[in-house]
Amino acid sequence: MRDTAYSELVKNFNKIREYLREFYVYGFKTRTEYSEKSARSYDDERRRIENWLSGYIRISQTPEGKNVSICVDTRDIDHNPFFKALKTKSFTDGDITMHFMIFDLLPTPDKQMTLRELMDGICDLANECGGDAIYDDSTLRKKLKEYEDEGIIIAVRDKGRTLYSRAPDTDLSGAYEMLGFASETQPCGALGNFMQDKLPAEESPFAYKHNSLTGVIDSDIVCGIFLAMSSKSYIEVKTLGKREKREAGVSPDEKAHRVVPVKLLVSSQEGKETLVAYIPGEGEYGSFRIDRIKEIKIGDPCPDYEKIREDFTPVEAKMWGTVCRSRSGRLEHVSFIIQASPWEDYIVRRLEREKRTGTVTRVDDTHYMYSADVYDSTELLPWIRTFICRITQLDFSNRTIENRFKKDLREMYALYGLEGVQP
Amino acid sequence: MMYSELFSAYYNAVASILEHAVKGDLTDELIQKIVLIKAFPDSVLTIPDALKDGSWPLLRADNTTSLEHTPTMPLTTLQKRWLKAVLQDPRVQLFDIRAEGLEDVEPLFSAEDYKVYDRYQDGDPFTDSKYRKIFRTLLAAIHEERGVSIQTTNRYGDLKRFAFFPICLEYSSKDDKFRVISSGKGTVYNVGRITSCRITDQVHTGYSHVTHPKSHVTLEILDERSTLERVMNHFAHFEKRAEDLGDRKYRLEIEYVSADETELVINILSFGQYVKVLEPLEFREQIIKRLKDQKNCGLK
Repeated sequence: MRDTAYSELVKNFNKIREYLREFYVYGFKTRTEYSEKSARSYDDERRRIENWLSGYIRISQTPEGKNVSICVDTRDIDHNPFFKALKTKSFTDGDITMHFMIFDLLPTPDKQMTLRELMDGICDLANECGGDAIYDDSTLRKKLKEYEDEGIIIAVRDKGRTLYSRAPDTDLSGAYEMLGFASETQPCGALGNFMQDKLPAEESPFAYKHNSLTGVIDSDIVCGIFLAMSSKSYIEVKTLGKREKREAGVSPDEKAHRVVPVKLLVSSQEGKETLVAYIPGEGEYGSFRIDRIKEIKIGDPCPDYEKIREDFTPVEAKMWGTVCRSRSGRLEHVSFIIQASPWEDYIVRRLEREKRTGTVTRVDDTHYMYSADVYDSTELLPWIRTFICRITQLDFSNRTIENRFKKDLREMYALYGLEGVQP
Repeated sequence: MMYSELFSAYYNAVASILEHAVKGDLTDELIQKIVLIKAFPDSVLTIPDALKDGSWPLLRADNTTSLEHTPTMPLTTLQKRWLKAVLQDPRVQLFDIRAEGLEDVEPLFSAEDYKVYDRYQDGDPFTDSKYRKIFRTLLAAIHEERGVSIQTTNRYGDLKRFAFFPICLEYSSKDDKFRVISSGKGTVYNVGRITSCRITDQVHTGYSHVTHPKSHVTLEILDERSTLERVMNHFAHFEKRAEDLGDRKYRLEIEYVSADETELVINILSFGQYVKVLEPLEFREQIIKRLKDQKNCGLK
């Protein structure tokens, strides 16, 4: 790239993932509070983000210093602004020059050229535009191999020589709208947005509610997981510690795990993604937050892959959220009763549509019971709290959690001056 | 994998610049304009210079090029695999797109590989032929800027008729539903509840942008049991302003679409005693009312 100390492009997106999340999800920290990274690193990354996402940046001055946040209401936009952050990979002068020349020399799939013919063609095109760069065979061969691996160049051996041609084009006419919708709603959606970039832009007829934007930041990790799943392979996962620990400067807590990827769990409400994987060392399934995965490496194929996936089905049936094993070794029973007047059938419908496992039964004309057996009853507490004003009975096999719910409720009363002392 | 220069804003900008150079209508002003649209504000300091000083020998000084063809690139294998995967999704199949040439492509993922675990169970019937027809009629009306006449059932099961100009379709991943939004007041109709829909002769000539009326609520968060992380992730998609008050306390101001207030009240309650509504008073009163009602539920 250009010979300047600062470049708006980066080689490794991992470096900036944390900043993007911090600026968007939290957005209250000032420069001095970024203890993990050096001040210089913060300045560079902040400048890049301000540049990449200009239009979504809010800068505020606080007594502690300047504060930068990414500010967007997802209902007001028709595409995820973070797609643009994924279009920032750095490259060399030779990379970009060869890219456009190779495809100009190979304009249709039926045109084939040898390495020598391509090299001569590139030199001619460059010379015509005043280029003094000298490209060697080995650089071009490496570039063609890279493109062959990407599936955009086809190499065939013919009479002792290799002939190169472009891969056939895919007809995407009329697909712009579909690509826009799929890129906002499907995993690894940035790939669809990249396809849109190559098509004439159209106005979007779609808007999105409850659209979590942060998944895009972790696209490369998720993509790697899907690739490992389709090749039924192990992956090596390098995880970071909890955010609070990293914030407090406690040991980085990085760990490496060799696991079999089983399923990606996506939350539409909390904006988080989780990998459920089988951990051979522990003989159990475990979950890994995607935003805490620093990197993954795809390993060897796992001979037992199908069986591991199959055995997960009954486990999944007992999961409320992302916890896939019990601390006590037993399932925990949860049930609660709510009251709903006969004309409040929408409340009963809420129970039915929001439950992820378990059953809803009618107790009498005005009472309905939800019950389930799950790995971790703690995971249900936030949902049960959404029925506050109607809960008449709780019955948890884990009494500690039931008592915690009741204690928390008393603290909520106190918080608003309805009872006792504030927490 | 996905983070590749092949998809970069720079490659997109240069492709567009070269397209105009091949056509013969490229100017210095157009280069600046393309860079600003396709790349980033700072890119005007790098891309034009690299093209002009011979670092990227793709353009002559007079803004013509030695290239003969409009720059294009085939889809990468990864893109094809993604396309094959998403075309299997019933929501995406609403668009009735057939991408030829993907027969031998293995999808990047399948419905068994991932799950949206907190999605509501009563999503729209995306595979129902009547629903698909209504969806496409609404989409056509939006494109043609024409009015529609619909018949819909309300939550009590009563049939109602409405005529309006649809301006967009809103999809919620949590509800797994499409809603059609009308021009003017931005009235919302659940597409799944529409029983019939036809395009009318009326052509929309007014302002077609809807601004949802908004309200705000201010919360105080006590960061116990990872509440800060959970709250900030939950409300990340709202326009918001957060402040560290010290002693593990944070202040969060959220701007929300007024029509979604009940949903927000419920969401705030779900965080328990570590999230307190500071203002406005009316919002706070709604929380207090629910807590008072809960006290009277006789929960022991």
